[in-house]
Amino acid sequence: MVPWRSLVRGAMFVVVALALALPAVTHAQPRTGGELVLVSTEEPDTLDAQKTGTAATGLLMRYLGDTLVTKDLKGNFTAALARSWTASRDGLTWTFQLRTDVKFHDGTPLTAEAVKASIERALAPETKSPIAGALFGPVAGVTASGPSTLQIRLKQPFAPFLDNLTDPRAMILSPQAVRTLGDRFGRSPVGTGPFKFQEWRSADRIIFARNPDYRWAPAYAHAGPPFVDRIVVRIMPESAAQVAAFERGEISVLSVPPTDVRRLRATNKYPFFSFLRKGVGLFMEFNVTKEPFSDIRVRRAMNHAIEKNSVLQIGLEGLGEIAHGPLPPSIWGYWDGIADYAPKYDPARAKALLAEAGWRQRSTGGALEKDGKPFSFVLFAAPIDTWRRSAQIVQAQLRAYGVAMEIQTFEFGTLLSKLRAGEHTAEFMGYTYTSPDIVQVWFHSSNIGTGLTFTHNKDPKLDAMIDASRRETDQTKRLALYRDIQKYIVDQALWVPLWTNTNYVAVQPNVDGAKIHPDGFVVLNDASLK
Amino acid sequence: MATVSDVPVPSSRAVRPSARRPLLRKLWRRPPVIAAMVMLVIFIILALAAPLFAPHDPTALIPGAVMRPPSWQYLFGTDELGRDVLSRVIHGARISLQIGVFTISIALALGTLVGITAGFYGGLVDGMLMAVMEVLLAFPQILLAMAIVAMLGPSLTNAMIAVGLSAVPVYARTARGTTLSVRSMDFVEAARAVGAGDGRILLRHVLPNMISPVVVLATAGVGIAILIAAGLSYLGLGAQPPTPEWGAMLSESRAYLRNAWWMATFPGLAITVVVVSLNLCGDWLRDLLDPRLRK
Amino acid sequence: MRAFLVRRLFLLVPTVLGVTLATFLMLHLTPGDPVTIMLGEFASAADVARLRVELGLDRPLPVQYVKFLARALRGDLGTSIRSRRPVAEEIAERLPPTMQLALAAEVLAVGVGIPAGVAAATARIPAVDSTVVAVTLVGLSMPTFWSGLLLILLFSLTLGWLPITESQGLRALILPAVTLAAPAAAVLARVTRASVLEVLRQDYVRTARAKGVVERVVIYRHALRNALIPVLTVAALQFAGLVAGAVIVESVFARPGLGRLAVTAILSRDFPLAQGIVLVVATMYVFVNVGVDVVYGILDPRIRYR
Repeated sequence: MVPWRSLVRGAMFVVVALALALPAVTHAQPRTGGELVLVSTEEPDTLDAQKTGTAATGLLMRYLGDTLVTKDLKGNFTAALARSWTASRDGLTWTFQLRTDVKFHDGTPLTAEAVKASIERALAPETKSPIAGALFGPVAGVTASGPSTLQIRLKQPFAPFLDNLTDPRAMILSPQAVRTLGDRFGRSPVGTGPFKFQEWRSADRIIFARNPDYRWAPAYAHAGPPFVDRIVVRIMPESAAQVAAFERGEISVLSVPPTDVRRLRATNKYPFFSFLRKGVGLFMEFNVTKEPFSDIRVRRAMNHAIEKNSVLQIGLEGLGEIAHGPLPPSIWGYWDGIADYAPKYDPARAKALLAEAGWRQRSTGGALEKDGKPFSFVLFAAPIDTWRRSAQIVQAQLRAYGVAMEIQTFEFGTLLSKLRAGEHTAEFMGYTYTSPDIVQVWFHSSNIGTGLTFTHNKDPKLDAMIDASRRETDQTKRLALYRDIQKYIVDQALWVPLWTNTNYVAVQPNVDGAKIHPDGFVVLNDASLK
Repeated sequence: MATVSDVPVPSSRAVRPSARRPLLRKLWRRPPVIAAMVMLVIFIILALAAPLFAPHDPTALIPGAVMRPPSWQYLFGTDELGRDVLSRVIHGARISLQIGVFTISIALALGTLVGITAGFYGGLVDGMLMAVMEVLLAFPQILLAMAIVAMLGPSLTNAMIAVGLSAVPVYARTARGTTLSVRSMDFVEAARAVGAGDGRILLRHVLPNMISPVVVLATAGVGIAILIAAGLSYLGLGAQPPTPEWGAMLSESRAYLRNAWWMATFPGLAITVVVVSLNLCGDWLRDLLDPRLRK
Repeated sequence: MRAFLVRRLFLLVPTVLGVTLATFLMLHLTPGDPVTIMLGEFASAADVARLRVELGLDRPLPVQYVKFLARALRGDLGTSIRSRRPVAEEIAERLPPTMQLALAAEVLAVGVGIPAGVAAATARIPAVDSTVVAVTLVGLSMPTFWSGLLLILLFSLTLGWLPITESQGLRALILPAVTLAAPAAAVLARVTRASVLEVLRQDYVRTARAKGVVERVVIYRHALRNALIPVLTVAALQFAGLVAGAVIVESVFARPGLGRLAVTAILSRDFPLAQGIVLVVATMYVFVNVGVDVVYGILDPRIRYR
């Protein structure tokens, strides 16, 4: 007798089980297609990684290009375009074994010659590279010692070398494309990344398309091409508009402004990532070649005069930490004694220092004056909401001392040119970086006028300290050197560090596989739409 | 930008002849105009005595009072830094009054000078001056103001200069027109025959005739000046933070529109009320003074 | 007729020349040395020299003007300092969205303003007339940067009907077009009303009425046609003003366009770009004005023989 009943029941059971299991099986394979929409407050000045000065470009280069070396999700160095590398004992010669299966977006193969050409372009004085050139350090020469073997010889040991190579602005560009496109390369870049450039509609959006030939992803992502068809980077200077767009589902990944963080988290609709920014989010920087901040007592007075907690609470909704020195706790090399070492909020001390420098109030509540001239200066800033709020808070605080601060806002590209030229008395600035070598970028006198040393401060002692930190390969000794540098910079009161924000990134629930990289960007190689 | 001065609005279907005495009687028939005048008086009083009426310092950050909605404590609410919006709106009135007076003074002074000179001396002087005026008139007013700010740099003072200068051609044209029409009148010939000098003729004949068209121009002009200057500030080309200028306040409110609707509502309302009142009074004055409508 | 056209077009040339001269002088009337303004005080000597030669600043002023004019006629408006792209290219890129907005606003202004004006002038109930007068008064007194914000607050944030973030497409055009059109529609309504009232008072209208023709026919056939001529003139003239007004509306709605470009150019002291925009918009303005004058002259014979 055939137990039909049981058989049928059994069959039904199997069918149902399969039906339930099948979606689980198929869901393990991400769906290809669709587009991810990102958003940026500022428009890049150029998409040429070696010529850019804006942070927005750096972020985009993560998708467009690859570097020789990169960091994995734990922050350790891992292979990218270079399969492996060795350094000579004296630390002067670095040899990279490149991957042989890499092609640029224009089809040309990545050879050692191509990499050499790309690096040499970054270093060439004609390129006038604001950041990229300096990344490679004191390069003596670059040689292609084989079809996929590259050698970089340094003039002296350069401790930040490997770290800097992971910066997206050190990405390898196609020399062929540079030759053909010339100046136009910046509007139509060619790299080796998981996405290739498709279109740039000014002030509107930049579109990247999937690179179907991509097979050389670092270990933290899957090896093949990205799952989505496109990345669209919308340019929206207004964070309120960004948030509104995100809530309507028009944006896939959003760096949430502080004013909306609590509200969005409370909805429980969106997965959130948060991490302390790798960089000091906001600091006031002085041009030491101009009055009144050429006087160190005045600079120190500013450090005592500003009540940073209010700036953090009102300007940033308290979503971050007060900054005390040039490095944040999130970057290796940060000295945790800096919080105690730095000048504290002390209005009496501030007034005393100002008086010592010759600034007096002729009447209570009146303007601070010296030799008949009032203490007034212009603060340059960019049109970023948190900066704007913070600037007005500082302005109000300083008014109590009789200091008149005027705020002038410039769009980022213009701001950078003006700062480079030294037109300012003081400015607001912030940064994101991955290593403590950032102090070279901000404080070494060799960067005055060409790089980011907006203090225009020529201090051989500081230069020597920074140079030493770049040469020292012993990590413990390096830490001590960076400690000394941080103390010195705080002593010299070149900045008033204000705050470092916590970044909150919200993702649409229909986006799968987005990861946050410790260097502060969203990895999209594995991202897909559900 | 819409200009009211080109658009005479017949106040009613039938227009009566007017004389000085029934002036008040005309007024009673137009309650909106009375309301407008009252608003303007309030505006001027608030502007002149702003510190007296404003409950707080307009730039003071009140601790713990960030983005509060309107309440008995803060009638217009507080903004993103904890500043009292009511106090800022009241101080904004002072700035708007400054804008109105300053820009119209520039436009009047320069425009009248140019127009009278052109009308009086005629010939080459007239041709050249008016050619320059025509070229300036070839630009839309806001574009001209923006170009001037581009040259001088963004600030409230420069915005006022820019708006003032951009209004000069209109006043010049009016002044020239009046001068020309007066010049050709018989009594001027008579006055000259008696030996009256240029200055005397100017003062006793040209200027008095210019008053009515200029007054009409000016009342509308103040409104337009406030609108354009506020517009420049809105774009970031005029008043800079923390100045409580109404246009600048609207610009700041944009980022917080979702969370704080009051930041946008009240400054904008203030501008609209003032400009409406100015336009109403301007219309009424034109009805009163415009000879064309006196049938 | 020909004399009229010739006379009108004859005036065009000096006006345009005047506009180009004024724009050219923008850079030179600015306090400070032009190159320093553009590059900053501490620019390298090489850069300064290069820019000087590039702009021809080392030649006498009249020569510079002629070169400026010659280049402009060829379509070369210089290079933007900020982006290093040809100014003409930047303007060409941003012109379409602005034109789109101005056209949409024009259509709205005409479509709403003229009928409103006619309705006010011909209405039997005085309340209709008063309402139109009151509404138009508010319409032309409200700053567009306020009405725009209120519309965003109402339709995008509170009701969620319309997007505030898309920058293209019809839906994204609605709110900005309405905002820009409002003052223009208000002015147009008033002009129409005045014009229709004026015409209705005239003799031939009274005669037609005396003939016993149905009231409606009187209105629509005789009065409207004549009333509309000056109205259409104003409407056409408004177009150029709408392009200028778009500056602010684009800023309110964060739309990319010529207006936003102009503001950025001014804020970054990017003179070639600012100059280029002023030149293009002003020249367009002149052409529109002259064009309208000519058309008006064709339509209304009385003007020609003045």
